Amino acid sequence: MQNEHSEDAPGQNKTTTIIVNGRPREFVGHKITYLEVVQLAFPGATMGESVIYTVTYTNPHGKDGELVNGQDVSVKEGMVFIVGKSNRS
Amino acid sequence: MSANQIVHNPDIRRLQDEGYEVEVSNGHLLIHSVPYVTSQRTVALGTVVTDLNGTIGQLGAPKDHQVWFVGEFPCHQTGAPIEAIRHSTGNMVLWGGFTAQHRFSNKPEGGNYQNYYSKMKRYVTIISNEAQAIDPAATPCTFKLIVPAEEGSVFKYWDSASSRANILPVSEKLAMDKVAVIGLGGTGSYVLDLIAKTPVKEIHLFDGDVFEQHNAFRSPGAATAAMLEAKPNKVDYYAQIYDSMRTGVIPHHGYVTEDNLNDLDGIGFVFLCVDSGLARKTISLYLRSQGIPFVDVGMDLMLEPENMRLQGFCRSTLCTPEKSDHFDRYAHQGADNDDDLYRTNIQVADINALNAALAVIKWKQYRGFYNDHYVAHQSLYTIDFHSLTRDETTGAIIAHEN
Repeated sequence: MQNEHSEDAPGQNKTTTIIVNGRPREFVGHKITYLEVVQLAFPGATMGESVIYTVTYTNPHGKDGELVNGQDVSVKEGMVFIVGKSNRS
Repeated sequence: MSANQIVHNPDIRRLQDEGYEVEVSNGHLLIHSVPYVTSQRTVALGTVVTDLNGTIGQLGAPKDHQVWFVGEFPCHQTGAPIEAIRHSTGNMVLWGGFTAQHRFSNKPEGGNYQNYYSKMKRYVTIISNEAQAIDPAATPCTFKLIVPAEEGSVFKYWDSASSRANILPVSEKLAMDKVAVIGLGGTGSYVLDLIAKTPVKEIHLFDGDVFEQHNAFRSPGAATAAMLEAKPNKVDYYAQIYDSMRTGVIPHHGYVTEDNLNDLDGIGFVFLCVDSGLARKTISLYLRSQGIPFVDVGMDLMLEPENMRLQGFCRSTLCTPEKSDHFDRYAHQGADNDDDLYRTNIQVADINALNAALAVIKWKQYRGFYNDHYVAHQSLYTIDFHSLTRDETTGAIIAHEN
């Protein structure tokens, strides 16, 4: 259990394939942040306090969820993310 | 609904003509001052009640053979209960402030009552005949006229969906004085469609746009070509349509901007259904400063070019005087510049409708119409996963997950 939170714990440098907005992406690391997901979806996207992206994920062995700025989630092989703006009505 | 329309119903008119003390209230027909025998063998007055089915001027057949009764359980002249009509006893709230004590069940020959006249007359006769045996002067035909107006109802015909299901007291929790829909695009129009069917007294519509052809493909109902050619303002178009069913749909021309924010003063709940991030910011800041609760909606559909499918989600976010800190984390409130990468505006009616339904369900939970275990202020439906997630909960504590 302690190893999980350590910098050099196994899994910290592991490469995982995740799907972001329909495209496979390689991700190195144990946990992925909101900002990292947005950059994988929209490389070079403008980020700022008033620019809010909606980030949602599912994983085959876990729970569906939503990520907001400041949050992260454990990466699992085959996990799927969708990123957009949820601002249309 | 006007009193005249009810009086002109032949069933009710006939009861009234024969002298029964008839009233129509909350989609129910009542006969007051029905003499009955108590267990003490005294004569008292009670009320027989049935729910109504059908529309004004054209009542359908009674949906069942049962009635409610307000009073003690009626007895034979001997003081023994009239077991032939007994069904159940308890406090039965039919609508706010109106409680019956008994439910009777007495099937006519043939199994069903053909109309409300024969149904009501049958029960009143069974009950009052016993009273007349004790007091020959006792009669249900008082010829006292009660004006059967449905004052206060917003509907032009009865909400029989609620009365049939006996949930009028629950529906009344939605009878707010003023609700607003800001933005009558795809999602806002479906919000209106859903809340128009609740007893909200006034629904204020805000939009500066014209109802155009593309709107017809993502809004409820079916606009005619002639309606589109008239180029009506969205708010006028919708106010006119929903006027067929209810009163109190009030159009406000023009967008809500810094200049007219105080038009929202006194609104009890707002559905914020705008596209513009800056409008969302301006309006939400004002609502928060005024302590007006609201639900903000938003969707995003993106085309996956590889397989030509749409992907995306729709969001509904509740913001109340008790909890609003989460709003800026979920709702985009920035400028929508043309240089904004990947900007799309794909909308499809079913996702608009779903987004609207999620927002309206949230409002109904906030009002206590629906149960709400977790009190989630953030809800997201993702098409790709067919998943619905909840966040920003203030209800039951969720077991912590690592």
